[in-house]
Amino acid sequence: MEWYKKIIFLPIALLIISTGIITNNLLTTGEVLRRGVELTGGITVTIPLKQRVNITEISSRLPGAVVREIAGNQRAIIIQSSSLNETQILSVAKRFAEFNESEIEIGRIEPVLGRVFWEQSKIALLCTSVLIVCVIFFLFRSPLPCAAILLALASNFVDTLAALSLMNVELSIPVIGALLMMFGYSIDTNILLTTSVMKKRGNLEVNVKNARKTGLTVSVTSVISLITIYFLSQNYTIQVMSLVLCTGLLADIVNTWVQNACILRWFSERKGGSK
Amino acid sequence: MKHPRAWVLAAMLVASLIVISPWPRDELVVKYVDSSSELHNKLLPNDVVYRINGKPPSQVDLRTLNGKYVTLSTNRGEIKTLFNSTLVKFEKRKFTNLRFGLDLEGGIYAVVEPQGNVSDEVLEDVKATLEKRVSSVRESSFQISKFGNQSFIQIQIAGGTEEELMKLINTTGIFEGKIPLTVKFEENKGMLKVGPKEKWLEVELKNNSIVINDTAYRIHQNFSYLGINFEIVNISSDAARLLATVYRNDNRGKDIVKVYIDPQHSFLQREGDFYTWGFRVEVTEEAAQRFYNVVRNLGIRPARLGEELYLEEKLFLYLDGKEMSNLSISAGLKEKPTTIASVTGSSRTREEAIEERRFLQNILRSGSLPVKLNVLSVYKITPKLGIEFFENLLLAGIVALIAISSVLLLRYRSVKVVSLIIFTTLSEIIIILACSVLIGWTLDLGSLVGIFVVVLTGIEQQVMITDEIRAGKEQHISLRERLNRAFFVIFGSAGTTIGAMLPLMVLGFGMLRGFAITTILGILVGVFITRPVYSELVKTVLEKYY
Repeated sequence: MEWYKKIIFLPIALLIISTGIITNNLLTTGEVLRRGVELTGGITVTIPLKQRVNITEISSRLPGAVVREIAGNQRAIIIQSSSLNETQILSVAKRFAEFNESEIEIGRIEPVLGRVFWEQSKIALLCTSVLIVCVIFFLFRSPLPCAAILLALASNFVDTLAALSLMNVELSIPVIGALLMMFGYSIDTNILLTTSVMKKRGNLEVNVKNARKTGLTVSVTSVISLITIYFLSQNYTIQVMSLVLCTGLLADIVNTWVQNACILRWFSERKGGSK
Repeated sequence: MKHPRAWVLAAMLVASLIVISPWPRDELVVKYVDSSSELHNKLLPNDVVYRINGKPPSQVDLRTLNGKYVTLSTNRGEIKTLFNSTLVKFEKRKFTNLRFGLDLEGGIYAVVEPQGNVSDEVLEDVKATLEKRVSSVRESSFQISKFGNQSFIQIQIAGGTEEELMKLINTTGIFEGKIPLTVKFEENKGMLKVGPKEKWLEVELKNNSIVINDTAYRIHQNFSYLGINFEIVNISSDAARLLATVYRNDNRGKDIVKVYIDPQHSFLQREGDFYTWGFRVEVTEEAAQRFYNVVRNLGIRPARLGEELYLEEKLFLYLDGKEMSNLSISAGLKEKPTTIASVTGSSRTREEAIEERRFLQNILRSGSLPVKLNVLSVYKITPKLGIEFFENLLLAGIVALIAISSVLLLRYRSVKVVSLIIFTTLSEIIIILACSVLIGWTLDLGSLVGIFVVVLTGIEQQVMITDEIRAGKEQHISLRERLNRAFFVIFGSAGTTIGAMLPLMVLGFGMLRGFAITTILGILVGVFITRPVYSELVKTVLEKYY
């Protein structure tokens, strides 16, 4: 058996485990990834802090709320809840942390609007999927490579969702934006690989190797930059978006250079054999 | 010319820098114009003041100009005005022409929904009314969005507070002026004395009701006569008390056609523990006639010699059905109809007085909201645009660039290639920022992330171009064909990303629109400007490969 047929177990295992996690979420909570207050309705309180605080302690006093800190050099905590109100949250926070009340950011969303955001997100996801399928078919006009790219994108999506769920990231508007962006982002490497297999003359092995070298260079630079931004930006929105993109990119490395590469190689060998 | 594309890029870079102008300038930006300020509607939020009395703003202490006439050179031309520094707020112009979004500048973001099903016209009307109330005072934006059969209005007010917003949307703005009248009964018969004597109405008292023209009315019921609405507020055995509405501003009509805000037509003074304030308004001929018909038969309050004479009843002012204030009616007003009227109120402190006067002037000018609004979301956002935020972002950017350069150096072992990639990337950022200024787009958090992502994609694609050129030696394919292949990937990925972002741009609420728009903008800049330039320049560096 060829070596590449052996390592295909990696993306397959990843996909199976991820699907398992997501299915489990779906069965236990009814949702693939828990929705944050932006999409369900509720309150978000962002408190810039003067010194470090014990997050778990605040969290344990606020049942029904999610308490998060901004990564890096901790400067703020974010408390979100769909059941508690501003006064309840602040009264607990005051006991454990020192802060200036004028610096607090408060956002409220009614469930009605949260639902609208959620519906819109689903529509955006659907439209995006349709548009992407169209673009890919337009580019390659051959069913199998297109299917392979779509499979890679879908696997990315599922793997990323599962990883986010393990990292306790809730679905929010920035997360949805980043997930959609991930499609555009991870398609580069897939197109690169597919063109190198499909359209190049010369040795298939060398072509794939070259493409992989290019692809890995770009993925590594992007992952490093995203990690830098995650730790240095000090802003939750920027952080959560870079986290999603980074996770997606890591999944993409496996799904493009192992999964899709195996499928395409198998495809081109069969095509070559039948000639 | 040797590298036409490079020259185009150079020209664009210079133009972009001029557009962004990232250097300090001694100018002031208008942040707030009180509606009672002389400058109201002459200067709008975001306008720029270049010179004050011919001097650069930094050499002028605005507080010393209070009460004096000053000449301002602005983007709206020269304005001569009586200056009052409490009624306008300026800010030093930021170090660039870039405009930052509310999530960075601080302010209030809200989403409201009209109660019940409303037509598009009503929705536009609501938006226009809200806009009139805010936009001349603070920088703000209002946007209607629809989803299924639900409609929303997104409101952004820079620097506003939540109380301000709530007052703005919870005030329907129905304004009424009412005068009480008494009908005295003798043997259960009386006269409602409105209009000329021949039009007076006979009123009969019958079983706790009053009968007018054969119709019986109970307490709290309304009837209309001579175009005036009367509400019965009390009925006793010897008299009935009625409330005549003389002025009314609501969504069906506006009796108040003009609100005076200049100092000659308004006042604010201390009276004991309170501050009373007021201003003049102009009402329609019909409203003036109604007022005259009601007051012309009123008696005059007894007064001492030399004191001004007032009528025996007062004018009560109501906002959204709540009594706001009452004022005495000068005896002279019963002589003939007049279209000039006064609106007054009282407040506990001077600041409250100024604010309440401003608010009421604003409400009267903007008219009333045709429907009630539900608040679906409110975000109070503190300003983040401090030096610290940019320092963090700059630091993150620089570290990311260093990390990227290191990886690329390891891979290509050519300082030339890597510097070219970094240079192109920086150019791309500058051009995108300039585009944002040109299309009047405000940079919010989403946009910043969008720029970052575009930059990463840009670097990716430059790596692909470089690799295709370098692969030349190993393969026997022409350079043109190899570059075509790289551009196939670039166009493919651009198409997909735009495809992914379009739905967000169309649907997008809040931050994701900024994200989508900046990303699409960045991709277009990349595909049509920076990528072609890079491929041309990198060819000269990598000549040995082909």
